[in-house]
Parts: sequence; C-alpha cells; structure tokens
Amino acid sequence: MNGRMRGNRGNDRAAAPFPSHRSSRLPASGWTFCPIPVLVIFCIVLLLLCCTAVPAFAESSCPEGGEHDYEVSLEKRATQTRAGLRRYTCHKCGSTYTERIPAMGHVWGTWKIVKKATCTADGRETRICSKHPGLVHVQSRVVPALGHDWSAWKTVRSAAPGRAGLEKRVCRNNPDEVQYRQSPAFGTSDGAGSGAVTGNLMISGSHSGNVSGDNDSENAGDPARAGAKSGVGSGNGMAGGSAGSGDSGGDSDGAGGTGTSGARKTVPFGAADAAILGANGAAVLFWTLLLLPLVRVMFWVVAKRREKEEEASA
Amino acid sequence: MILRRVIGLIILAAVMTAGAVLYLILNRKVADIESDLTIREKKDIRGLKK
Repeated sequence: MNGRMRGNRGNDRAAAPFPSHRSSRLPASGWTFCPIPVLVIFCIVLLLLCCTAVPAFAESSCPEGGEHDYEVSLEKRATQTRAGLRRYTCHKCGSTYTERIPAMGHVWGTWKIVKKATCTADGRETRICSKHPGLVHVQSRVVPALGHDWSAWKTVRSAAPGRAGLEKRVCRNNPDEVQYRQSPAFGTSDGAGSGAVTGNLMISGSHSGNVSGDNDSENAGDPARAGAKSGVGSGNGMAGGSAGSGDSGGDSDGAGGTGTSGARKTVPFGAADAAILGANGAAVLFWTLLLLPLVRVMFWVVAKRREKEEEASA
Repeated sequence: MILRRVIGLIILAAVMTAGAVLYLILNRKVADIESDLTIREKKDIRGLKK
C-alpha cells in the first residue's frame, strides 16, 4: 500500500476511474427498500377513496354546465325525539341527495301531578326535560276541576205521618261532600199543624258526621240544625235550611220554632219559665211591702182632711 | 226565644218600673205632708179631750 498510494495522494479518484482492486461489498440483490414512497402512495389512495365517497365533492360540477343549483326541501320534519330529513335536488341535472336533521327541542318526561284536582278546584301537572340534565326545563299545565259526581239519593229516614223524611247523596270524587234533602211528610190534611215541610229543603256542604236515621226526633228541622252546627252552610245557600237553623239554633230545650211553616209545638214548662215567674212574684211582693205604708199614710191624710172640712163646715 | 218567656220578662220590667215610679211619687207626697205637720205635746193641742 505504501508505494502505490504515494503517487496518488489527493487525486485518487480522478486518476483511477476504474479501480481494479477496490475492496467494496456488493448487496445480495439489486433492490433498495425505502418505506416513504409506499406511505405516500397509500395516503393518496385513501384520499381518493374519501373524495369519491362524498357526492358533493365527487361531482362538484353539474353535467349540464356550471355548478349544481340545489333546491332544498323538507322531507321529514324533525321532532323532539326523532330526526328529520332534508332533500337537495338540482334543478339542472336532477341529481339529489338527502341530509339528516338532528332531533331538536326537549325530551319531556311523563306528566306528574303536583296538585290534585278536586271537585271545585283546579289541579296542576308538570314534566321535566331530560335532554339537558344540567338545565331545568319544566312544563306545567292546569288540570281542570273534576266537578261533583253525585251518587243516587239514599233514604236516611223514611217519611211518616207528621214527620218529614230525609235523604242524602254523596259525591264520588270527594266523600266528604254530602247533600241532604227532605221528603215531605204524608198522611195529614193540615200540613201546618202536622209538621210537614213545604217545598224541598236541601243542605249541602262538607259533613263528616253521620245523621242518625234512628233518632226519633219530632222536629223536621233536626238535620238542618245538625248540619248547621257541624259547619254546613257554605254550600248552595238554601234559604229554608238556613232560616230554620238560625231560628232554632239557640234553643236548648227542644225543637220549637223550626222556621218551617206549620210546625208548632207546645214547649214544656221549664226552669227558665219558673225563674221568670218567681222574679215577677218577688218584684210584686217587694214593692207591696215597700209602698203599703206610704199608701196607708196617704189614705190617712185624705181622711183627716175630710174630717177637718166637715168640722169647718159644721 | 219562646214568646211566653218574653212576655214574662216584659211584665217583670213593667212591675219594677211601675214600683219605682210609685215609690218616688208617694215618698215625695209623704215628705210634703210631713213638712206640714208639727210635733206638739198633748197638753198644747186645743180641744183635745183628756
């Protein structure tokens, strides 16, 4: 190596274009493997596939010339729970494609009763949207009043000669709502004397107690008074029942003065009557004892004057 | 209220009122008469028979 290399310092490559003793290793095959072009080719193919999959990009130009002129039409309306569909149709070539419209609005749950409706008062229901749990979306609506659902009239006390009968009916929606009515007595010609009720006395309202049908009271207005005492009176305001209950409400002895025409009754002599009579007697006795001497004096004076006049005349 | 009790109370009120009025009138008359009277001994009364 020493002799040969001296002459060729610096110009080794230029002086020897064809080296004869070059120690170089040749590869086993003639191909050189590089991964970069393969990756590029793969990406191009993938891009072409994506472009062909989207019609809008696949055919950006209309066959009739220029670009497509699409008309938008609603094929299916989107609701709160169901997606809709929008259709695009080109005026020129007639090509069409559809587009999905996502479901909109709330996703409401079931209606829940907040305030129960009664016979006379409205109720309220609400429902909550479950689409957006973070937001409170509430819908409410009014439930109209149910109204009374009266059952059939039921006899509480049957009518008898000289005594009116009693019937009642109950509201099915609210058992506390009870209506009473009287049926006229029968068997007497004189209605006023026998205690018959003229007209139809009705009382309605909330009544929690029971009117005893076995109570053999002679007064036809007993249920009226019982109803008035238990809080009835805010109902339909029937004049007969109200007048009857008000007229006899303060009486503790018995019925008397029922307020209904023709129901007269003798009241037994009681303690109050005895007290008033005793007070009258005591007052008369008191004044008699007090005024008697004065009256005797007056008589004596008159007698004396008469005597004097007689003496004077004589 | 029962009618007879009302009448009884009216009578009671009338008796009390009438009695009070009579008492006042008679009391005044007696007072007038007493003012006319003088207290004298028997021996001073003329014509009194012993």
